Amino acid sequence: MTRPVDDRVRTAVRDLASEAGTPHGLAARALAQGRRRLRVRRTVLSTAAAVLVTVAAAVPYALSRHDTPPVVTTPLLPSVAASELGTPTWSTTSTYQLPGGAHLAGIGAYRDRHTTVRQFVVNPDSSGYRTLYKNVVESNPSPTGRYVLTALQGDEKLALLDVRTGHYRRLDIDVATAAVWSSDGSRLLMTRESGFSILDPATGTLVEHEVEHGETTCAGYCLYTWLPGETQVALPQSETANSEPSRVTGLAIFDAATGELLRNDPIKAAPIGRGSWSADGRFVLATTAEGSALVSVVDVATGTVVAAFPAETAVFLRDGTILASTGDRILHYSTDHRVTETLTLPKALSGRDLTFAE
Amino acid sequence: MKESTDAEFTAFVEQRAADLVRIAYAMTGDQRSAEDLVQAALAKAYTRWPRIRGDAEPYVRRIIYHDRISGWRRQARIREFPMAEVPESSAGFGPGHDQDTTLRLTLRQALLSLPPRQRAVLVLRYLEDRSVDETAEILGCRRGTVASQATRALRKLRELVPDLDVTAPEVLR
Repeated sequence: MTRPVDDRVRTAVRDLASEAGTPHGLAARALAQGRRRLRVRRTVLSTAAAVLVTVAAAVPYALSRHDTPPVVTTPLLPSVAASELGTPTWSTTSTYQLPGGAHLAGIGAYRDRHTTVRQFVVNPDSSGYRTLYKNVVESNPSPTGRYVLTALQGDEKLALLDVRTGHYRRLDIDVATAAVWSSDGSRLLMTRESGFSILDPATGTLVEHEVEHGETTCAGYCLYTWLPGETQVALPQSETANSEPSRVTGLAIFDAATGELLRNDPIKAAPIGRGSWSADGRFVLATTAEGSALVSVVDVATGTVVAAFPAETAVFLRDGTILASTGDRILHYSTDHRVTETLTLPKALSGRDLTFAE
Repeated sequence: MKESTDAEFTAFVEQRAADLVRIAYAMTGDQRSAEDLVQAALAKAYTRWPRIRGDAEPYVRRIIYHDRISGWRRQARIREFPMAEVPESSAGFGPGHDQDTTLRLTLRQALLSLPPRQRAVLVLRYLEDRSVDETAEILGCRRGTVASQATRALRKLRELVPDLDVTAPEVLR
């Protein structure tokens, strides 16, 4: 570059940069977004669902204040008739049973601590748990316990552990990638910045689907999740205007095998992860309004929030009941969304990322 | 532990935010987009904080450039319209602008029309004063790619700003 041109371009770039105003509140916004990423990442890495508890900035998943369907049921509280199951002890030698016939398939890291801790996955061949290596900092076990998606200490890429063989397969996928197992553990749906990928853990085959810019309108951080039947995946569509929080405007539905955009469903709710949909597809567990620690149960047909309850993790069980964790307690909700059973977690499990399975 | 991490992270942001937003602004040409870009990069950094603390700034800068180039923030990309036509010519600004001011305004507009990767190269080279090697390292590409992107950027700027090579008369210097 010749000198005058060099100088002019340099001056122009610097002039442009000098137009930047002073950012206000950036630390708080970044902190809130970072916590949200951490929470979502850990959740999708290791459990079935995410609830955004500490939110101070825009929430891409959130139902907008304007579009939030009317809540016809007040947040649920444990009913008087709920059975208290006490605090069953946990050990690696037997599978930890949960209400509703479910069990604990994985015990991951602490949700809100940057603390490395030993993690466990249910033994796929017998009862009890296998202990993951010390260098596993995050884990996302398949519901069967056969495979575990792991982030290893000091590695920027994810690795897939075959629990039965002990074989690690390093994947060319960044650790920050959100991933949701199919209910049978045979496929792993991963959200990428330019689309989604599906991994077959048995073969290591990764099929990538690019989603064209403009084909979707997901602003900010967006998570692909399985639909009932698991042949299709959904991406919340959201938009943002001025300084308003992002709001979900619908779900873009893609063919899981081909990546083709099939339709846009007018469901103004963002599914929270694995097990978000009831088996009959009538209800979906979704994130709620900004700043809320509630999981909403949305009636898909009407778009109505029929129930909402505080939880860190929640999944639909096959019989249509819901299992939720508040961090230190497990609550079992009936099909009419009333608490029927509660269990207090022992200290060893309290505050951890938990994976439920049936 | 979480509290100390948060306090450390907050202190870092408060100390470095202005510089990071300047870089992002040079990449986006828009205050809100710049802050969004920096905020997203910082949020990613937060999730890695225990591993990057003490050396967070290079990590954050790298994310800013990569995110802008990769265009993962689709909204921003949708808003970005490539400039097919040459921006207003020098004559178009009317009286009140001297030749130098007109050139600067035209050049500013032309800069904003460059593809993100080319603009990133110019920002790294001319705002951050990075060497070709450093630029290549930050962008995760080869030296040759940096050189070719810079050449293309310059060619485009010359197309859009025909006066770029013209030496200004002494009186206007």
